[in-house]
Amino acid sequence: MPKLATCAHCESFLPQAAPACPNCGKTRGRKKLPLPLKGALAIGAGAVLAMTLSACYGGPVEPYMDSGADLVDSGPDTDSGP
Amino acid sequence: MSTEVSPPSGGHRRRLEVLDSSNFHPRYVVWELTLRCDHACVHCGSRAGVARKSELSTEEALRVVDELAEMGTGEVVLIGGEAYLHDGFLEIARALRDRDINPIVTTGGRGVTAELARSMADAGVTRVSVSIDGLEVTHDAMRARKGSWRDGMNAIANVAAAGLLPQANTNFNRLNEADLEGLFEKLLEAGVKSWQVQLTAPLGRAADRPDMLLQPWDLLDLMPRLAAIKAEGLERGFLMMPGNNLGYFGPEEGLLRSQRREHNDHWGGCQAGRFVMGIESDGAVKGCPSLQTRAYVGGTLTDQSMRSIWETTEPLAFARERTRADLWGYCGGCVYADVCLGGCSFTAHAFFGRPGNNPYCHYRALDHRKRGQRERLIATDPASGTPFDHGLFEIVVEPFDAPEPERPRRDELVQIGRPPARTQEAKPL
Repeated sequence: MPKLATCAHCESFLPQAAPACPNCGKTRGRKKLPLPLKGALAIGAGAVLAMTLSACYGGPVEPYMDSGADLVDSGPDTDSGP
Repeated sequence: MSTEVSPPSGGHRRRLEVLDSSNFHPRYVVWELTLRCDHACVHCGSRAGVARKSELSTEEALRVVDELAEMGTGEVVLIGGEAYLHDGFLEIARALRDRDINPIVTTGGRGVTAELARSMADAGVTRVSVSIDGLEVTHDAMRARKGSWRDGMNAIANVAAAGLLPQANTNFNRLNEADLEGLFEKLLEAGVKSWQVQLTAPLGRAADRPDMLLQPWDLLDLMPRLAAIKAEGLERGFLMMPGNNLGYFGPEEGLLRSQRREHNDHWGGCQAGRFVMGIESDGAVKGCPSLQTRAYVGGTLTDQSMRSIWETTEPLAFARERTRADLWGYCGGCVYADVCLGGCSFTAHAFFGRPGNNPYCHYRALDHRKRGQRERLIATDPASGTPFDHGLFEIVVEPFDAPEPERPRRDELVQIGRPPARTQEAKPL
């Protein structure tokens, strides 16, 4: 029996088969990033998408598209237990 | 991986690889030299006071030392009653030292004078753990003797002056849980370096006083307080460690269960009969010193060799092959079941007459609170009135905010609330 891994969010121990932390409910193995970093990633992803669309279609697009919401998964804020 | 393994009675602890090991041997032994005691504590699991009918003589005990050495024992905690009330106490400690077995002593401290402390050091004892069960008023009430707390604190001073490492151990319950933070400061001031904390389980005299016991939801308050003390203690060179019946798998598990922050250890299942063994003063052998005598004694050293008892008897082997299939109740369906394996065996047995479902669990209390519930333990059957006996309890699940009866006063908590059934046979496992 190996030592249990710990939750990246609350540092509780994670049972091997549990999809989420039994104590805080966060999805296993993905660490929530600080809000400023999350925002920067979103802006960056939006800019890349805008440039890609512009290059493909040659027309102006909205200067900012917040498509970064799915880039960083902080996990569902739900309780999870046995 | 490693977990903390130590005797529940308050001895020193070591970090031992347990999850990946099957090299079972009695590495840590807790040996009750006599049931004679100079205290009559209201929570004593062995109902100590008077010696057992046929306790091992010094000569017999020295032969046990040879057997321990042959079995690979590394550390023995000498307890009682009061171990120093056995005529051969110092001779037995010295014999252990001579066989490269580390002798430790756990004591109430009443008789640990400066002279006895020096004699223990001369005999090779390295550490002494003094039982301090709260601040002065509470401690004296639990130990049923005025002056007991001062004797205990003097014992700590005498132990330190003799060059021994002073330790302390405390059983927490509803009588003394409010003393937690104050006691931490007192122990620091006294020069204590490590402190084992555990929960009073309904074993022996504690089984006669169910109102004194914590209810499972009390852990929701107690565990974060213990974690705060653990963190502060680490900053101040003081190690607080949970006993084996204090846990499990709440958010503070890694902090509480580790000797250093970077260890991040967790509970790894009951070690009774795996790396821990208990010996009662008449030579009865069981897998852990706190296990119930009737259900868990595998044999007696006056009739059978230690190796034979350890290797061939079923009561010593119950925890070696335990799986989640052996668990029941809440523990049987818990997400931590495969690793936790139901927590402390003697504690679960003390409540329900069999191991595998332990209501004293932080994660379990948290999980019930998430659903707006809590578990209440209600005493149903009395204990039999013998050492290491137990009664029976039932669990009632109730709304988390259910009204609670007014708590008894301190003097009422130490009174017998459920007299032992001295004419009634204890129920078998």
